[in-house]
Amino acid sequence: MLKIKKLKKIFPNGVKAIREIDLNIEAGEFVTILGPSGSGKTTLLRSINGLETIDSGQILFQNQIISEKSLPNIQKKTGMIFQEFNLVNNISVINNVLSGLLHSSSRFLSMFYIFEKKQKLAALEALDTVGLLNKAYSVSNELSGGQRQRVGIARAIVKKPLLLLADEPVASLDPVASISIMNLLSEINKVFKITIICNLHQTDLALKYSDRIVGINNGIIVFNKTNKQLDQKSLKKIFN
Amino acid sequence: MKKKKSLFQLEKYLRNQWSIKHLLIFIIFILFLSLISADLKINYSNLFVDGPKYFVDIIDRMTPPDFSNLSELIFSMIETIEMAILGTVLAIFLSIPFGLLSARNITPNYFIFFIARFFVVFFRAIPEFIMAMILVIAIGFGAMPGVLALGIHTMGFLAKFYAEDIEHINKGPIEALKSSGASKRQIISFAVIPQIIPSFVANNFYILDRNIRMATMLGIVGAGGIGYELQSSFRMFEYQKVSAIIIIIFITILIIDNLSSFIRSKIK
Repeated sequence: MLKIKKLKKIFPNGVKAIREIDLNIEAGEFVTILGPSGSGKTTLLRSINGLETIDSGQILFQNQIISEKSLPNIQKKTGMIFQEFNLVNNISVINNVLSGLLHSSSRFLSMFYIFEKKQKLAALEALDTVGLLNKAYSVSNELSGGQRQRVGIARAIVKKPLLLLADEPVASLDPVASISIMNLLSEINKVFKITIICNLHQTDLALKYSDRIVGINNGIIVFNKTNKQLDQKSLKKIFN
Repeated sequence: MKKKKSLFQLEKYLRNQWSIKHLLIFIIFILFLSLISADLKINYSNLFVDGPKYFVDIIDRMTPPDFSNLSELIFSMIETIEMAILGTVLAIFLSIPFGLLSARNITPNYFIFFIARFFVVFFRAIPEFIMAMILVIAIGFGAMPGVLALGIHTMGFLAKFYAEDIEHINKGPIEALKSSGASKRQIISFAVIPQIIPSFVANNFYILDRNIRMATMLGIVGAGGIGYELQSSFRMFEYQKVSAIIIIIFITILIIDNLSSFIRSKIK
């Protein structure tokens, strides 16, 4: 469903975030991008949904080249979750989740937080999926870190995406919350058949949850196999 | 995955985005505004009935702007800027001791803190306009009362900014110095001042920017500068000169505004 061809990205300050990357992702996969911080995995994820512009190469989503023109259509079909959750802290949980539907809402009414009934039901359903239905009308900054990330996930899945991009989803969480968030992502992958690309720097989580591991170091792919084939030698290559 | 609720069950969780409470708050706010307007005997419809007529009339009398004494006007504009610069420097010098003494975590004792806070609040409370009027009576016309009024009034602002900045600094470095036996004054110069330098510079530029804007008005009470020209043109009903002065003030403020935000962005 996703084909990345000869992708390159150099930041204006001269940092070569992605030297050259070729990568294919099949529908339904749970792929972990594993690598140390600064290896280029965040940039890779962010170029898929247009948060970063790419310098050269191509990204195809369902055989459609990602460009300025096709981006809105692709953003409708992808959800993203972030390391720092990126919730709006002073509004209610359900409004945070509804913000994931803004692309398909009335431009005018949504400015006043007014949504259709079926959208509100979809938001409640997403909150039910992440187990936070009873917190729907709490203010987001009253929640714990793990609960906030659950809201972040609900916001990403409320539009029923085909692809979920997770950028270090558990890096700001304690070990117990991390496990439950990873379990939730795994369930979402299996039950809703949503393809997941997840950035991680923890090898144990990558081994436990993903079908395939893509190791990135210094802007290039150094490992791309199923998680059973990850041995000490390739780990050294990823984290040298 | 545990069993999920059906849509029917989910409907029970639906709530309106805006409740009666929001509506009530809105109505009370509108009522409050109308009561104030009634008390002030403001009739908004006048604005639309007679307003346009007089407005067109005054605009007509103000155009075209009369730049015949341009060099004179530019000279008094420069005088205004000079007043603002002197006033700001005065404010900075005064605000350093007052700022330090009125910060709770630095002040030597409560009595000094109280005295310093009193002056800071007192001078911030009196508008520079009124201060300038009093000073004009006390020391006569000219730039001096304007400079003093600006300096003393904005001292109150700057000292308040510094005191708040000092109260919110990171306490870690202070503890580190304390643990190694540094004195209170050494702590101020090593751990307090370096932390507030960036906001110190930014605040000073903001006050300079503000003082130039205020100084244009101070001439109206006889404290020199372009405001004095504005006042005399108004008195003589020379509205075309008034509009010329307004244009000059506008251009100056535009330049100063961009200059000061440019400098502040370079500092941060």
